[in-house]
Amino acid sequence: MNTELRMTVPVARVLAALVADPTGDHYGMALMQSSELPSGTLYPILARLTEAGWLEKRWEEIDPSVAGRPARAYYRLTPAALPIARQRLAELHEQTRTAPAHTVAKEATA
Amino acid sequence: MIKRICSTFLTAAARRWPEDLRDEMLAEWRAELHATPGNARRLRYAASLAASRPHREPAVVVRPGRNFAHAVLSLVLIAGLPMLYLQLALGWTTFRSDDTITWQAWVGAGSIVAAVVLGIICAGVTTGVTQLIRPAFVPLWTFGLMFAVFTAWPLLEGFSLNRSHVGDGFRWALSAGVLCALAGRVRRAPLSWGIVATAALVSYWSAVTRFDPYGMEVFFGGEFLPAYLFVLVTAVSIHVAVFLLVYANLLIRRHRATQAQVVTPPVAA
Repeated sequence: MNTELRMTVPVARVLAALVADPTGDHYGMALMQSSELPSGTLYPILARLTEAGWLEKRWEEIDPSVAGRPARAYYRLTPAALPIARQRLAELHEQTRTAPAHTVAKEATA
Repeated sequence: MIKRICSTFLTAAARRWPEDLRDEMLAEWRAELHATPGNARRLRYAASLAASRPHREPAVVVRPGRNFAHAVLSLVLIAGLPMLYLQLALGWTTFRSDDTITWQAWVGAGSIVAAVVLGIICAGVTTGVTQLIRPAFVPLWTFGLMFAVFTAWPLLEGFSLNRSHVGDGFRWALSAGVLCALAGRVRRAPLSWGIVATAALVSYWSAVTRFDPYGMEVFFGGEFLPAYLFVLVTAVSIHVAVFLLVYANLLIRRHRATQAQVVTPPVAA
C-alpha cells in the first residue's frame, strides 16, 4: 500500500466520510453527499485511493435483468488503510486547529 | 433528451480516463446515474464528470509541451473569439426596430449563455495555462491580452487610434481584471461566482460611465427598466466580459482545487 498520500482537502473529505463508517459499503452517490464533493472531483480521488491500495472496490452482486437496474460499485477502506487514514485526518485536524488560519491557508495553497 | 445529454457527458468523461479503467468507470457512473433521482441531479452528476480534469497519475504532471500548447491555444482563444464575435455582432446590434426588438433580446440573452458555455469549454481545453502562468496573473493574462488586441485592432485595419475608445477599453479591462482577481481569491464558490457576475456589469458601467438606455424606451412603452435591461442583455462588451470572466475564474479555481494540498509525512503501514 502506498502510504505517501497527497492529503488534499477533497481527499480528506472523502476519507472522513469513509472513516465515519469503516465497515460499511459506500457507493459514489452517498460519498458525494457525505463529502459534499461533485462527481467530477470525487471519482478521480476514489480511483487514486484505489490504485494506492487504500480502498477496495467491489461490484454489487445482482442480476441486472432481474433487479431492473445495473449493478453499482461499492468502496470500502482496506483494513491496512483504516488506521493510517485516521492518523492522517487527526494530523490534519491538529494542523488546522493549532495553526493560525492564514498560515494554514498559505500552506494549503503552497 | 436529458438521458441522451447525460449519456453524452459520461461518454466524453470516460474518454479522458485511462483505457483500462474506461469501461469500468462508465458502467459505475451509469449505475449511479440510474439510481439518481431527478433530471437536474442527473444532469449535474454527468456534467461535473464531463467538466472535470482528466484522471491522471499524480506523478505525471510535468508536461511542458502540453502546457505551452495550452498557453498558445489560450492566447488564440482569448484574442480570437471575442474579436470574431465583435465582428459578427455588428450584424445584429447596429439596428433596432419594433419587428426585431424581441428576437434581439433573445439573441442577447442567448449570447450570455453561449459566453458562459464557451468559457467553460475553453477553460477545459487550456488547463495547462496555469502551469506556465501563476493563477494570480490569469486575470492580467486574460484581460490584458484582450485590451491589447482591442486597442491594436483598429490600427491593423488602417484606422488611427481613438483615445476615447482606448480609455473605455482600459476602464473595462481594468475593472473586470481587478474583480476577476478578487473572485479568484475567494474560496467559496457562490461568492466567487457572484463577484464574477458583478464584474460583468461593473466592467460595462466602467466603460460607458452612465446609466442610459440610449432611447430604447420607445420600444418598451416609454419604460426605463425594460429598456435598460434590453441594453444590458444586448451589450456585446458584457458578452465578452462574461466569456473571459468565466474562463479566467475557472482556470484559477481548477488550479487551486488540484494544487491545494497539505503535505503530511509518510507513515509506515
